[in-house]
Amino acid sequence: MELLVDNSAREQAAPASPLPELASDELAALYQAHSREIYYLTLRLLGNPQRAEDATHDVFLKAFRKWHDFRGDSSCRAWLYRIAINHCSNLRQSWHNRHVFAAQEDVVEQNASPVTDSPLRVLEIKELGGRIQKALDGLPEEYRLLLLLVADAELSYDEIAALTEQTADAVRGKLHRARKAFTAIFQRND
Amino acid sequence: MKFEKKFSQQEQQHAAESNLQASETIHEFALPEDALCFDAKQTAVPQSVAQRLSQSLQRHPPPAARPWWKRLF
Repeated sequence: MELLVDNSAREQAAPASPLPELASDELAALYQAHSREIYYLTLRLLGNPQRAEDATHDVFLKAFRKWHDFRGDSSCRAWLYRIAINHCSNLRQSWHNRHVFAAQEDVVEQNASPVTDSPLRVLEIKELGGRIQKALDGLPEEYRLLLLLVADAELSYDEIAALTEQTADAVRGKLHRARKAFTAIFQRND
Repeated sequence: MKFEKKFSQQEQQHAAESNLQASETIHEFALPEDALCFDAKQTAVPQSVAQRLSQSLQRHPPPAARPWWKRLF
């Protein structure tokens, strides 16, 4: 997907003209409240920090441009997640990665070892990110997205259901399978 | 600029939190989402995102708000 801003902008000096004050405050508050969650979602969906950085920039730029059209039908967080999910989905399609993940679901189900109730353990917290990424990469796209959304305590099951276009009951059912699959892969990589 | 300054303050705060948490060693998580939540909290947004956003908004400011009555239709 075409990026909303050309990368040459990074090297250019900032123009002197200030932003309208109201827009600046509103948008800065929006960024401050939600950027970490949006960056994390894009990082784990795309699996690459540079792509996540680009995607986060594009998601917020898109949100800022459409901010005045936001009708408040959902929470700000859910609205931003919607933009981010669509953006990442478009990026992934353009990389022709989609078929890889579609084919993985059966493999994950077959290979999932019996899951114990033992907790997920990591000796060094610095290794956590890498192990999480490996486990997520081994999951079907739907499971990966569900786990990432559920990890955000601010989102309700109903919001997650709306974001993933299914019922809340379906979310709960798939979440159970997603947890099992994630835990199996995570423990295998121990 | 105020907009960029706010972004930068937030990034510095995130980085400081990340450094503090990185010093801990052994962790257990009952559920995958607990691990993801912890990981998310110690993942800072790169400062360059805010800088690029600020530049992009200066080059192409967002459209002005539409009148309330137009938003209804």
